[in-house]
Amino acid sequence: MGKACFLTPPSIEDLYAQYPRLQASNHKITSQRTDRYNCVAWIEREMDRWLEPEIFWPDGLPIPADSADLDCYIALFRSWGFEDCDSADLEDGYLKIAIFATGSEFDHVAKQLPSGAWSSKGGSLYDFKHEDLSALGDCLVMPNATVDRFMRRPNDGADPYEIEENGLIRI
Amino acid sequence: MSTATLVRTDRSLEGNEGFVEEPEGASALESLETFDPGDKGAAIRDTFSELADELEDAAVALSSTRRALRYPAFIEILELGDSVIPEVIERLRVSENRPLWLRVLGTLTPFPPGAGESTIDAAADAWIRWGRLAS
Repeated sequence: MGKACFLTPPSIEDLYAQYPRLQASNHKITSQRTDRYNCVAWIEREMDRWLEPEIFWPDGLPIPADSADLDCYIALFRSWGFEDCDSADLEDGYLKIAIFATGSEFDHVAKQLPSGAWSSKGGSLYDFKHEDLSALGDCLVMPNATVDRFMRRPNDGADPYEIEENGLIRI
Repeated sequence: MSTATLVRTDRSLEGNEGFVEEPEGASALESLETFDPGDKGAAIRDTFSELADELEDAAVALSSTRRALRYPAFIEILELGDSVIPEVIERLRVSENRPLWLRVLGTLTPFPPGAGESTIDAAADAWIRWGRLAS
């Protein structure tokens, strides 16, 4: 068994400038800063993919003709086994995601952890655990976004989501 | 983990032997070859540098680089035209927000931001190699 270490980011000012509701008590940074993946890829822990139409996008999924791209992201999440659900409430046996959008334009997606907290990847910044979805409110790049669409898929509970919870890696 | 395969476009920069000669790419390349390095060029580079810093700051938390298309700095960079492509590629080389510069290149040229590659590292490398060929 290797030892565990916490990934301490060298600079987090950009993150706090962008997410003004993040406070010491409501979040934990769980990765180094990286632009190799975005929040969409983070749902599946695809940590070498920036999943976005026209950049890297799975074959067979729709590509938006204009800025209204929310349905394209919904199609991607469905392809990963997610289905619509009514709320962000924690449910045993399911992994839930919460989708932030401005009208028909996709902004962000966060995933719920077994603890009930959420995990997000902020643009080209960090991964971070946040206690609730309101912690992302007033984000500078999505000031008018709403989070009123939730999806879920069965989760057998075998994955403890350690990296999302604690930012721990085994070395 | 997802098993989905990723889009690989026929317009990949990598291994495209006809890339430099392609008619649809000729405009940008001709501009690069005839780029005036004089005062006007320096002014454009200075303007680009200011806009690029502004754009990087504004877009750092974007999950979708498509959102940056409407940012004033993005629009003004496009208005500078093909001549700033070398500066964009340099930004791509050093930036901590490479997807943003991939999007800029995909808008300034007829080629896809992802360059037909599967990762940000590979796409950035492809664009940087293309920039060397074009210079």
